[in-house]
Amino acid sequence: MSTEKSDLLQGTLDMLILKIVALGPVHGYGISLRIRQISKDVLQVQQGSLYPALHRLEKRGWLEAEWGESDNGREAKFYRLSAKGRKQLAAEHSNWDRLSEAVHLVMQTAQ
Amino acid sequence: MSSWRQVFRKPAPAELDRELQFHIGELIQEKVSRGMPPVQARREARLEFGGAASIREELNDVHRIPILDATLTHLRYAWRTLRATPTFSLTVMVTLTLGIGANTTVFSAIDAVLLRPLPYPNSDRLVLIEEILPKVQAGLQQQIAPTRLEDWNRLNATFEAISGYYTEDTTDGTGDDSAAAVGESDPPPMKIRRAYVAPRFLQVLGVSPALGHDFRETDTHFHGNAPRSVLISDRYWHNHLHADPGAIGKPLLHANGSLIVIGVMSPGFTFPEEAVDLWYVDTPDAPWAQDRRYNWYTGIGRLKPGATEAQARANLELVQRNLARQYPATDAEVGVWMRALKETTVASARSSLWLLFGAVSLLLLVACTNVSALVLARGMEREREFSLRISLGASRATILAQILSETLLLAVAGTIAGLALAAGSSRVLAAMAKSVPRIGEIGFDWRMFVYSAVCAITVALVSGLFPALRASAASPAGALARGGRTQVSSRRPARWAMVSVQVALTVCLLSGAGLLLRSFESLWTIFPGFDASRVLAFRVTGAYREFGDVPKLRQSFFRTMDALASLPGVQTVTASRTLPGAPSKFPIDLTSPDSGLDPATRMTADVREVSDGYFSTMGIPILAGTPCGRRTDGILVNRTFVSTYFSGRDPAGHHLVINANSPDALKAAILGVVGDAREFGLNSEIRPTAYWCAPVLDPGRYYLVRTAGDPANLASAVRQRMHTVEPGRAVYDLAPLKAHLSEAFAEVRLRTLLLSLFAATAVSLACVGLYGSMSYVVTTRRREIGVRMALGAGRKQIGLRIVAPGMAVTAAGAAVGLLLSEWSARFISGMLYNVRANDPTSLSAAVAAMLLVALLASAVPALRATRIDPIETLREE
Repeated sequence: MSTEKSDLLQGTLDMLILKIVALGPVHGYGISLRIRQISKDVLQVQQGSLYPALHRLEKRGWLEAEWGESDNGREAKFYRLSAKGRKQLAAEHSNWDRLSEAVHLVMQTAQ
Repeated sequence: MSSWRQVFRKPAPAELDRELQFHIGELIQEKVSRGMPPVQARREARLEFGGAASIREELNDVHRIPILDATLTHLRYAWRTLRATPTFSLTVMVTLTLGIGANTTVFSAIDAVLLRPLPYPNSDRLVLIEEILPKVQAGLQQQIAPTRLEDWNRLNATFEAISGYYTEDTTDGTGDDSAAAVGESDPPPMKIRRAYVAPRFLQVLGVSPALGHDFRETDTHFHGNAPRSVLISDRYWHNHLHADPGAIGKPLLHANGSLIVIGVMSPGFTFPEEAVDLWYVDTPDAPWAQDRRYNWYTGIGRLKPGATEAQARANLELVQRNLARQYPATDAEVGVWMRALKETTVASARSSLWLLFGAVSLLLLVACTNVSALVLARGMEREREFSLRISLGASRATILAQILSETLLLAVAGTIAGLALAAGSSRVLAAMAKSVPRIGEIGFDWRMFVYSAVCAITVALVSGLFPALRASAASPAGALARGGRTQVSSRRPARWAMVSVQVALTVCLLSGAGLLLRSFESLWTIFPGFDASRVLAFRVTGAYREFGDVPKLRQSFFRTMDALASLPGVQTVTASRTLPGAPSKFPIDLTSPDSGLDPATRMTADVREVSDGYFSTMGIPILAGTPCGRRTDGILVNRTFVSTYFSGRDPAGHHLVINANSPDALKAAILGVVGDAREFGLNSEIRPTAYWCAPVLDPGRYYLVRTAGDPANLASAVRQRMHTVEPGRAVYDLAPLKAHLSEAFAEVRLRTLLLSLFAATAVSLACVGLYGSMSYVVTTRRREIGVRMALGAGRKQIGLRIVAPGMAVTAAGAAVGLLLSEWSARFISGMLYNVRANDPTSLSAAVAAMLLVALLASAVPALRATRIDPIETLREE
């Protein structure tokens, strides 16, 4: 059903954001850029989902935000992982590993 | 980082925009750096980014606080719903306004009188102190001798200071009434109440004058006839000195230069009495203050911080025991009596106020049940709406919250209106209840807001929760399937239970009001043993100081009596220390050494000081012996005294000793026996009484004039005559004795009136509740009634079918109400006179009134039911 799919996507997006932010303070544009680059253009995050997700994560206390100067000297809002976010990332990471392992197993057996 | 801040922190719209703008800017730059022309880059970046507006919208969603939003939605929806049904909303609002308004009014009085501390700093450390003579006079306290007061203050270890006061009425500003040189043509002098205070008076209370200064050390020493310092009240300052700040340090105009104003008290300062306008400091070293047998101070003391009342009492008792060794002749018998000042101030009003509070609480409960029943009825009408909403996905909690927000909204509206009502009516109450101590302190403050807010929330919960729970439990299938074509059975036990609870509470209030009314009526209908009609009573100013020359005092007293007796229309004239019939207590221990009675017999009697002509003026029959005369010094006793202590034997010729063991013991012969009269309060039992024919009476005495016609007609003649005979004295409290007595029972009248008012309100609320329920029944059973009529049921039968259940519910409620009244009667039994708490007349009258009202309330809907047109209702199908 559609709701389950979007839940999965949303959850995944949150995890990806946390992972990217874990690499160092970064602004919204930087996050979408890196996801695109690292996934070799397979994953394209829509801004319409990125910013609500960022704000939701900030509100939950997993991200902390601060205004700062970007590489080219413009003001940007930088996100940083909080201690709580780090724990969350670890939990989601291991959860994801188990899930993808399981999916992988099922798909292989089916072959 | 607090997560709370995270929850409530909401980024400003500009901040969101900046963040999004940065993103777009980066996109453009990326495209430009890849060689795209800037204009195209800008356009494509915007396209790629999508609608910034919709993102902003989504971000707002992220930051919304769900509970707050839901509440707002509920309230908005509730507002719309309530506006759609104005009759319902208005009924509920008026009900709550009455309930909360009455409750808050009574609360404001309780708060001002009982709960709030006295208006002095650290007033919980203030105590009232008096002397007791435990061996002479068990339980009777008396004033404190001035030198003893000074000793107590000097020798104790637990008080910061001890002071004292006494009050008397005098004429306007003059130091001495008799000395005042006033011509006959001058207007009659005004009465003014003054307080003589011991040194340290304001220090004990912890206040200072609003203007000027407290008494100085030198003011507290005796200087013969030198001018004295005086503090004046704010009222006196305004009325007589035009609020002139320059009045300080100047002599009072009317006092022949004998009084110097040193300060003006603040408007709220009313100690020891509201009426006091002048405060003089008494000098403990004055020659007349040296005798330790003569006592006149009511003591007040301020405890040291941390000292308890018990410690202070023990300490002062120790001090007094030492004094007893030092002055065995005068101090051996004296003990210490002490109580918290606030307690002694307000104790008299406590039972009345709590009774009223109980009554308004019942009233509020009636209002709650009423609202509950109304909401319940509406819930049934709205069953379909709720079922629909539940089947469309609304949770039960949503429905519950919905109904609760409706009642909350109504309760808040009712509270605001109730507060407005209370603000007005508490002022009316304060004006009506002048006799209640501290009632002038009633004010509209935050406590009333808090209290009524608590009321509102309680009301919303009590009256909303039950209907809300029922409605939210509605089964969607059931109600929708019924489709509004109502069933035959519309039995709603919950609704009827509400009605009977209302009836029960109302019957309880009604019977309480009935008991008080019957008791109040008895005050005036039962013959008190004396004739209060055609008697004019008044007082004349005079000072205790005049006792320094008793022969002169007696002379002036007799001159007054003669002058009054010679007035046309006057039959007899007399004087009495207290007003006959007004509540008072003056129990004294007596002995009768020569009567052959067992000396161990303790005789206690109320002693009344009366003068020549008292019994003929008051219409009290002389059963044996002779009445008081001007030269006779003796005692008459009442019939109850004779039967109690002399077993009916004639006591004439024996002697009675008043205050036998005290230094000022008084021995007098029994002159005769008089009939029983309720002179110590129309509502008190007749006690053994001794009338002492006093050679001279206290300054506060009442003159009593028996007139041939209406006593009110003689008032101005009496005033004129008094002005001729005693031009320096003011006449006051001039009114027929009946009016005085009515005044003396003002508090009783007020509480009777208020309780009746609350009961009447409860009846009308119950009436509304019953009417609403019956109307609802008729509406929902229209079809059934139509069918019955079509099948041949008579109109009378139909009417009965409607009225009968209503009356049955009322009767059940009334029965519970009777039990409730029986139980609650204990709270008012102490206030009843000549009526027992289970008085069948009051109880049955309450029930009958309730049944009658219920019959009326159900007759109208029943009549409507009989007018239902069967054809029309069947066609509606």
